[in-house]
Amino acid sequence: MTPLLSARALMKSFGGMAATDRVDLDIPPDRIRGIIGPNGAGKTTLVHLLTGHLLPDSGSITFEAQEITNLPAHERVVRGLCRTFQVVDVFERLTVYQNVQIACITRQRRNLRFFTPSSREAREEVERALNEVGMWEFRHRRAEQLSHGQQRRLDLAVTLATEPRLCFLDEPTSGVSPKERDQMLDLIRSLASARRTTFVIIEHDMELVFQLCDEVTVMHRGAVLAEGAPAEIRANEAVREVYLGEEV
Amino acid sequence: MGLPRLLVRVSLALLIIALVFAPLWAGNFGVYLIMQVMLLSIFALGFNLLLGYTGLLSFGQAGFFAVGAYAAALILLEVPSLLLGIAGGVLAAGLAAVILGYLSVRLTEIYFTMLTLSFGMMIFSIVTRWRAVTGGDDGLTGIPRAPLELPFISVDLSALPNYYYFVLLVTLLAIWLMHRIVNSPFGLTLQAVRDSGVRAGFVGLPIRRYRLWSFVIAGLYAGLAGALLAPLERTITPIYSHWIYSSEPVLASLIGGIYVFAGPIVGSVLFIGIKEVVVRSTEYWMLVMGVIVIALVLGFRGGVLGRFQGQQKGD
Repeated sequence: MTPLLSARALMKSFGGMAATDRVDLDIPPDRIRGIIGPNGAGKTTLVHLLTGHLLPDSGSITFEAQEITNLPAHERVVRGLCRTFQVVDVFERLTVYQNVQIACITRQRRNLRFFTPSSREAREEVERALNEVGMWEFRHRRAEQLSHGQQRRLDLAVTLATEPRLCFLDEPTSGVSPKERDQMLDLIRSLASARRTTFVIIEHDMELVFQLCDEVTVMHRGAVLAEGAPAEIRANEAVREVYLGEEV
Repeated sequence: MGLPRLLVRVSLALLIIALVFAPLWAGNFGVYLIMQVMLLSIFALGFNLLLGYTGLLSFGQAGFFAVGAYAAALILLEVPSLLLGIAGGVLAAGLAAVILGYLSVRLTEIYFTMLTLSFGMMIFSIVTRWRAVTGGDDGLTGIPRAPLELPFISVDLSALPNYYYFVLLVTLLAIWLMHRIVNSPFGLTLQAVRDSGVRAGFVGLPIRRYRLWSFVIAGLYAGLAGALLAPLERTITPIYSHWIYSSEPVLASLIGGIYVFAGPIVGSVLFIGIKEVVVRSTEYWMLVMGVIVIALVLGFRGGVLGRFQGQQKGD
């Protein structure tokens, strides 16, 4: 199967320290991939490079067989590559409804309409997206008035409204209650089966990744340490050593 | 919600009626003051598209105001056609905003503000030094209130009340247009860019392009206000391009509320009104004005209108 996204010899250094060290990575379509590693392993930097938040020092990235190595983030989004951030990031002063609406308007390239009311735009899409994550009842609230868990859901709805083919979720359950965490996992599972979106979950919580993912990439000191099915990763000696003392 | 909205509409209608009959009750000076408020409102509405809706604080808007005023004046001194003068002023300001905006929107926050401040002062030094065109420190004088040439009819605007009606009409149009803009998909896009540039990029928005659009519209509005001022005052001096003048739309917007559409308008009324009273009573008017502005900004967090709106919604 041709991979959806490939990285070859990807490098990124900060002040002489290689945060991403010659990483080769293939993400096949329609499988939930987990990227794990201890703190400082370079997971987030790697995602920044793949999504265009940072540009690499060297190496290449291809998405759906096209080179995107130096493409700005917004152009990658248009091509179907999107993400959420570790720290939840929504449009605070806009309502829940408008948060999703802006993603729909942008996807339909209707941002340069100056004189028609925005309230008429993308009604069905917004309703569907908000129902999907169970946020329709909060549509009139401003995003800043939501709980942290609700903001995470909204963040996901906004991201999905861009209709991504590939979607990176950077620690999607950090800072939410255990109950909300389980709801989020169910939600990601159902979205992955209902949509044609491939998810990549970045986590340091290994248990979560083993529960959710079909394939796991383990990172350590900026490089890929191991890759395989959850059971293989559990049994891997090198991984055990990195997570010293932890029950893998 | 129904009653307040009705109340707002009725008050607006009464306000417009009062403005239409202003030459009958306000006297020449009153009419002149109302025009000052209207021009500052246009200026501040444009400025606040940048600050309140796009999240960019420009301290160089007087530059575009002056480009509008000088271009309109230069045209009117050659060709006695008001519409041509105003249109020329607006276009010149828009062109300046495209060029300086292209360079400014690469930066944000304080860096953007400092850059706009420098570009504004660059315009100020051009205006003061380029004597052959701008008249230097003396400025341009004898600008005519040229007639309004419409098909088959020419309206004489040389009397102040006549010119007042022209300015009133343009102001209402400008406010209506801005209201459409901020409530359009474009307006929503700007607010998304304001709330989080990074997130906006990750819904697929090239954020610099939208910052530039906002900057240019703000420049057009500043240019319109400046172009309307030239025939009103009949004299244009470099003071209108100075950064001190850039602070007027900033203060008007802060006083009225930057997150409410009408904030800059209410702020303009208060700013001009308070200034008028203070200037009459003391020669240290800037000091008193400063204290009042600080008190208003601290006392009404989110602006005078922002405070009211907050109370209505109960948050």
